[in-house]
Formats: sequence, C-alpha cells, structure tokens
Amino acid sequence: MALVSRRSTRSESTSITKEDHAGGASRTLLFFRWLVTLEGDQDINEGKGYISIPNISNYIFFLGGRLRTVKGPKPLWLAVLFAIVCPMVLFSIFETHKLWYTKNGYKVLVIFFYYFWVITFIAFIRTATSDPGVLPRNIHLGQLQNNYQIPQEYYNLITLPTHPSVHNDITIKYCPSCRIWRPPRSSHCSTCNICVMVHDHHCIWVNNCIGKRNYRFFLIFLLSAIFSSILLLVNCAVHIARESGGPRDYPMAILLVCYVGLTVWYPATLFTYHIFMAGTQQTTREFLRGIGSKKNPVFHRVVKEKNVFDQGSFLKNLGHLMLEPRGPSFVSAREQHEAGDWRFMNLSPVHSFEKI
Amino acid sequence: MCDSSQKGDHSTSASESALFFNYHEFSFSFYDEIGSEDGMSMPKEHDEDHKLCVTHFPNVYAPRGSAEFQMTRVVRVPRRFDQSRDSLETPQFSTQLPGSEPAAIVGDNGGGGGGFVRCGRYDTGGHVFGCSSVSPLSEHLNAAEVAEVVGRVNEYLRRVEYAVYGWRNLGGVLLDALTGGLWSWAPGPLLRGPVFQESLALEQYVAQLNSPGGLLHERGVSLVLPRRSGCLSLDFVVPRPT
Repeated sequence: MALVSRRSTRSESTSITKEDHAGGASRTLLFFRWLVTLEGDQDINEGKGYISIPNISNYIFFLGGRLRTVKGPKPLWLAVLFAIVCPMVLFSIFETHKLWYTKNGYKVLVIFFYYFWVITFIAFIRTATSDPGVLPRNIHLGQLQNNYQIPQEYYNLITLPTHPSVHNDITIKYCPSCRIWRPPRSSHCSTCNICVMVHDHHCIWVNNCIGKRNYRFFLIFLLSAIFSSILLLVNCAVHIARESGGPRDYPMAILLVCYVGLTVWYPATLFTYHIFMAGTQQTTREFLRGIGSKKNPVFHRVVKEKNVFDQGSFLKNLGHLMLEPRGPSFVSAREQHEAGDWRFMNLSPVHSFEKI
Repeated sequence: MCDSSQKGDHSTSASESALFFNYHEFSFSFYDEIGSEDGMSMPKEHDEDHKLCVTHFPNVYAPRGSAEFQMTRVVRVPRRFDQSRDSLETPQFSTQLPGSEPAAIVGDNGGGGGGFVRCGRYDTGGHVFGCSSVSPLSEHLNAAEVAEVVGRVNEYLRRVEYAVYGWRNLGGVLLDALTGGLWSWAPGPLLRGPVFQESLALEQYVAQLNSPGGLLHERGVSLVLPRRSGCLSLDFVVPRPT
C-alpha cells in the first residue's frame, strides 16, 4: 500500500510513468515536464536528452533542456544573481536620471554600464545553465556478465607514449561510474555525477561545472562583472562630484560606491587567478592536485607544475586555454535519441574501494 | 595489456619509453574452449599464455535486446597521443589495425601478422574471442584500409573545431564576448551549415562510408560517428564473430 502511494505521488510531482508516456500523457503533464524536468525515470529512455539525462546525472532541466542546473542543498547561485541584479535596480531607480539629463556627455557612461551589466547577466546565465562539456556514459562497457562487471585491467592507470616533442608520457584512467576511458584533462564531478571535458572545477556560485564548453562564458562573466562594477563606481563618483550638497543628498550613490568597493575584488581576483592558471597551462583541478586539495587555490602562490600540455610560452598557453573552441555538445539535452540508448542507462552502482 | 608476461616485459622498459597498445582490451582466463566437440566443453581455468583477449565489446549503439545488439559487436580503435603534437588536445585515433600496435599481444598460433583466431567463448551470449590482440575487424578490413579511414577521420577532427586561431573560433569568441554568449546560443546553431562546415564534412564522410557503395558498407561493417561516441574512441560495428 505504501509503495503504491509513493509511486503515485512521485509521478504527480516529478515524472511521468511509462503507461502515461505510452498512452499519451495529458498535455499538462508533458508541459510541466518540458518546463521543469526534476528527475528521470529508468523506464523512460527515449525522446529528447532532457528527459533521459536526469536518469544518470544530478541535472535539472528547464524549458525543454534549454537551461540546466544541478540539484543541491544550497542555492548559492541565487545569492550571486541577487548580487548582480540588486545594484543595477538601485542604480536605475536612484541614479540614472540624474546623469542622463546633464547634457555633459555622461550618457555614454550610463550606456556602457548597462551594456556591461547585460553582458554580465547573460554570461552568468550561460555559464550556469549551459553544457560544460559532458561526456557520454557507458561507451566503454567491457562486458555484460556479472552485472556489467568492470574488468580488473580497467582499474589500472594506463601510461601511453606521447609525441617526441612532449617531454612526458601521458596517463589515462577509466571512470568506473561513467564507464568510459576518460580523455586527458577530463574528470568526474561527483556533484553533477558526470564526466566533464577539460574540467576546471565545479563552481558552487554558479552551481555548474566549469569545463571546456563554458569556460569561455565564465571568463566573459568575470571580465564583464569587473567592467560593469568599475563603470558603476565611475557613474556614482560623477554624481557625487556634481552634487553641491552634503552626503545626505546622495545616500544611494555612497551606498553603491561602498558596494562596488567591496565586491569588485571577487571577480577581479578570480580573473587574475585564471590568467595565471591558463598562462601556466593548468586547470584548477590540476593545480589543486599539485598543492594539496585542502587549500584555497585562489590565494595560493601559482606553482608551475611540469605539464605535458604546456605550449612553451605564457601567451600561447593563455590563448590555448582561454580561447579553446567549445566543440559540439556530445550529450545534448535538446537532441532526440533512440529508445533504449545506453548513454542514458544507469547501470548498477560500482562497488569499489577506489576513489574515482 | 592482456598477457601479463608481455606486459611485464614492457613495464621493465617503461621508465625509458611507454609503448602504445589498445587499452580497451582485457583478458579472461576462465572460459569455454572451442574444442573439437562443440557444445560439450565446460568452462575451465587457463594459464597465462592461453588467456582470452577481449577485443570486441557489446554494441552500445543499439538498444539491448534488439536484433542488431545480438548480431553485432563493436571494435574500438583507441585514442592515441604519439602520432602528432596536437593529439593531446584534439581527439586523434590510432591508425593501426587493432592487433598490430607496438605492444599488442601476439598469439602463438598464427604468428605476427595472423588473423582473428577463435579460442574460446566468454560473456553473456557466448561470444567468441581469440588469445591475441587481433580483433574481428581484421576479417573485414586490412591494415591499409583502416589507416586510410582513421587517417581521414583524424584529419577532419584536426580541422573541425580544434583550430584555436582559426577565424571561425576567434570570430566566435569575439561575438560571444560582445553578446555575453548569446551568439553561440541563438544564431550559432542556425548557421551550423555555413559556419561549421567542416564538422558536417566529417559526418558526410562517415555517412558515405556507411551507405551502399561505401567501403565499409561493402565489407559489412559500419563506423560510428565520433560525435555519437563523444570522440572517446573510434568504434567500428562488426558482425558478431561465430
């Protein structure tokens, strides 16, 4: 009895049962699933990616897979969104009109502020909700017997030769959760429960991994956040300079100056850190491994590890990591796939003592 | 990889230089031997020199239970990092026929350049495997043909989207920076034809190989699009060896 009731509540709140699916679920239910896909259903493995990907990951999809986020206890990204939107709203209400009607050419500063703010906002959404470079699952399934048992050899670290111009061999590893031989620089994110290409880190502030396919947006987000903060500061400073009265006449300008003074350091520090990381051809993950993962990487002196990916010069490294092409989405939430696709099957959990 | 004695040889010289092998292969010693009396053999333990070398895998591109899944297997051509400098960043696959890599396991029957020799049955469905790294792909394609196909695929992949300083990528970076990422979200996918022509070229090449009249279609095998396998390996779907 208890089972029955649990099943029915689940189907109402999160997903659609197979019978519904086969018999044509009510349009409302399908619409709600399109709007928000919270959980997958092992029985439904067909249609578009957003219906099946939640089977194997911790992703939640919105608007038919157009946006994604990760299930988590703390929605810190909401705090970041608030920190982005709040100063713009205050500036629009209390400051804009004073600068806009001055005839002194300050309009340009206001326009630039809004432009960079919009870029920051969109880049934040793109970083937080796009595919970081998810790798497909179960591509390298070894065998079917014993519940898809992973062969012993697949637990070895494999050392393979590299081109003579590279000083070191490369080591690759099998991911027992995703059942794939991971390409170099990719790693498994335990929060999202997927493997990500050129994995930099899982960012709790945007609630998404930063990887090959959204590193670009992450950097644009940081850079435009710095620019819009500086322009906000400049706009408020102009207002303060033009006022003849005391601080009582421009409390909001003072508040915003203080706000920018306090917050601009976060994106600025992070952006500088990423310049040094990319310049020494390291991802945050590789850097953390080098210094011991207990420390905060941002405030640690940049140590240059010997790295097979090193291109030889700071600028080349910088260009390579920061301008890296995004490449296609291998596990697309929007693409149709055939029924019973192995990429979306959650095979039995691995009982292993090894750390992934 | 499979044969521990061979592997031992390599590991002693590993400090100097690692040798390439197909890391998808694994070995198994408890299996049904293919003997003279079919169906009568019982699974038994085999020694180091007679371990089965698993060189073909379940076809994860067909749903489980489908006829295609039952009738086909996948031979994986692994990614390789010693053929060119950019293969660390760009997916590049081994151009050698599986079984002829520098550290491949060479079986005692058939010598060096031998074909796929059936030794025993293993795994759900009783699939047939040999004792060497030679895969059933060797029954359909020769070394030159594999080198030609994989070489072309590698070439396309190198050109596709992995050129950091190409105008397509730099233009994309600039437009993304100016629009906060809206460029690649909205018009990017619509302009896939004109802007990302080369990724389509790879898809067309694979489609041509697999379609009637194509080389692979004639030989009864097919190539899985690298996009489908996440460029993790280059997978050939071959008929189930009997």
